[in-house]
Amino acid sequence: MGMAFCELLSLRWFGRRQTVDEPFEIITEIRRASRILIIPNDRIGGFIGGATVYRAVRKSYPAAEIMLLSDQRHAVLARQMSHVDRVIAGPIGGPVWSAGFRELCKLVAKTQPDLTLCLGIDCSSRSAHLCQESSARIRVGFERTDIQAFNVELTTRSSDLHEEEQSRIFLDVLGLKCSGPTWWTVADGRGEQLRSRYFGAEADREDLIAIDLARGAGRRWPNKMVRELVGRVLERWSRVVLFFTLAERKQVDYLMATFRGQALAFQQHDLSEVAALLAGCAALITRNTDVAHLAMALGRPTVAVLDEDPSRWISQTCPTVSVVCSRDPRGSGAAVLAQAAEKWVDGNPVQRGTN
Amino acid sequence: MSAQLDLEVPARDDVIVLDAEVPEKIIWPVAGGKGGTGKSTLTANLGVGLALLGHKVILVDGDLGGADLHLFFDQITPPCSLANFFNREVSSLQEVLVPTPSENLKLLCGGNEFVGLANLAHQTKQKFMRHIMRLDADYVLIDLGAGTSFNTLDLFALSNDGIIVSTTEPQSRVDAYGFLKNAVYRRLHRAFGRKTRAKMMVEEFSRDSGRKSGRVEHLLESLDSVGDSEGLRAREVLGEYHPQFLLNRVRREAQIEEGQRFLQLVRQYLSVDPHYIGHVRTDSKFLEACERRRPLLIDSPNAHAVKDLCNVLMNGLGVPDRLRRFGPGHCRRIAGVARIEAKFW
Repeated sequence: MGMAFCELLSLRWFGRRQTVDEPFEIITEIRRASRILIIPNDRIGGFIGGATVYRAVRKSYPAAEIMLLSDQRHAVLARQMSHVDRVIAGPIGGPVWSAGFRELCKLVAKTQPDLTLCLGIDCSSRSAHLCQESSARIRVGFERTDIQAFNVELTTRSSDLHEEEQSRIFLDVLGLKCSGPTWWTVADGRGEQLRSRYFGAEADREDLIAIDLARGAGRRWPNKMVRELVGRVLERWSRVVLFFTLAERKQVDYLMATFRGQALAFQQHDLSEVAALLAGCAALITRNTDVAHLAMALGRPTVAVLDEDPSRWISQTCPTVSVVCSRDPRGSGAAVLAQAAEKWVDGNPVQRGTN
Repeated sequence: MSAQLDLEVPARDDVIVLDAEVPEKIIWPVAGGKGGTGKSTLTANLGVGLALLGHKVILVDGDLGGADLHLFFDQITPPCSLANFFNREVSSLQEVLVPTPSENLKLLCGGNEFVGLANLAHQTKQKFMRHIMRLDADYVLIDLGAGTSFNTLDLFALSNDGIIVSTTEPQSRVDAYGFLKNAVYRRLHRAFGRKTRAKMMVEEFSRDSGRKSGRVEHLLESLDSVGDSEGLRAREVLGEYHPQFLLNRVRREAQIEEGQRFLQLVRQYLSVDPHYIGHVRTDSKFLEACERRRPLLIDSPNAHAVKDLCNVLMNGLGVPDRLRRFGPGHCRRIAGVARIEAKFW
């Protein structure tokens, strides 16, 4: 709470002073935009879910320069978006008083867009601030009470909308045509080389299960539970692929020592690498929505353990996700998760997109 | 008669194709000029260290005719080796890789039973080198034999960052210098086309001034006089070349300083910039590990030479821990990982 207050204070201190523009016709200005900056929701789910918006914007503005603002962690993915002309990457998640964030603000200001779209009902105040810093004539975003960053605010009846719903609303309001869902896939060549190098040339996708250990916003899984989960998974599958962040490295160490040879560990710093490796796994078990969103986009069967209402994070139309809801991560039980994964993999040969 | 048009299928705009970046394979040939400097021992241990850091490693026994790397992994008679490859029983080196107790480490054994392996024909050597380049791993370490034969020099030239192992004895340093000199001249020789003036000048220089204490800088100046591009090309070739120097069997601090002075001489006389990647102290546990046919990192993870090896890996060679468990400042923690790993060997 204290941190959020300090952030808001800093943003107000550093923020641009509001100037009063001459009145203008919003719709005309939106249609005339030739430089468009898109600020996706900070989280990876918002970034992936926003792909529909990037595509629709590109289709509606074929001649415009479309710029995408991305956190450094997602920059690797952002640069692979063919609908975007330019990616501006920076430490969006860093402290607002840091030199890196201030530098990013200057960079955004230099882009001089005509139209800035700030996606995400619950995007951070930092993203909203960056929208304000862009000084675009039209700044569109969902209604906020903390910062006055937008001159066109969208209001929804509920804030618990999945990214797909939010994108649809955004496009509807702007009068942009949504041309259907976006599929994600992994290119064969280098992805296959990566899988061959780390999984072995003979590795069969059906033999590998991925487990994402990252805790996300919740509490981490205790060692005992993870050990039991990995053990149960290995009763059915021959190897386990563990995705982790730096916060889980001790847990990974423990698991690698316990299940040596049967557990392969990969840090999540390169999401395109994670995507390539996920494409070689039968399914993913996770309680962190970041990698879950990637798996869902790639059409990999996913068992998601969530301790809050899943409708905000998991699309109702996604056929490859099985959600196990639990307020206490220990309450799910390793056996339940392993069974859910087995059932889901057996009944879910679906794969979206093309290879 | 209608002609069938071959239309290019446009990429679908509703599909985002993600392309992963595969970590670039790093090849490190390990040579030394003199025999008995500890090349094979260090190659085996560096390979195990890299594997403990989470990287995929292939060790190649490039000591053709004198292969012994397999003995560090308790393989008296390996199931397959380079002999199978040179006999055309397999089509790629990948098929003759021998697994080790570490899932991250594989071995390509030399085939001592193959008569004439030490005297490979040029075409066979080229084929061998091409296949080495095709091996897929994060790191490929090639243990080379002693001496300065063309086979050894050409295998060493597979990388711009080959590792030279020398001990503290002057004889070893002299041979290491001789090896580096031959490697430099070989590089310059191959940089220019056949029967060009530049190539002839390199050959002449290596025969005359090169035999004495001629400096490569004088050769470069002579090449400058031939034409702009020749001199530039030669400087470019040498500018890209950064052999790495590892001092083995160190007993005193003063020996490290001597090693540094040696590198200064190399810079002065050979116009290349070698990097000092560290030293490994004398340790009797190396011998015990060799007798037990295990790498030192697995046999005695607490040995003080292990700390030196870890320092060489993480600080000298700049190898990161793929699992981000520890940074270069905590490289001793590899010993902890090695202790756990040792239970499975």
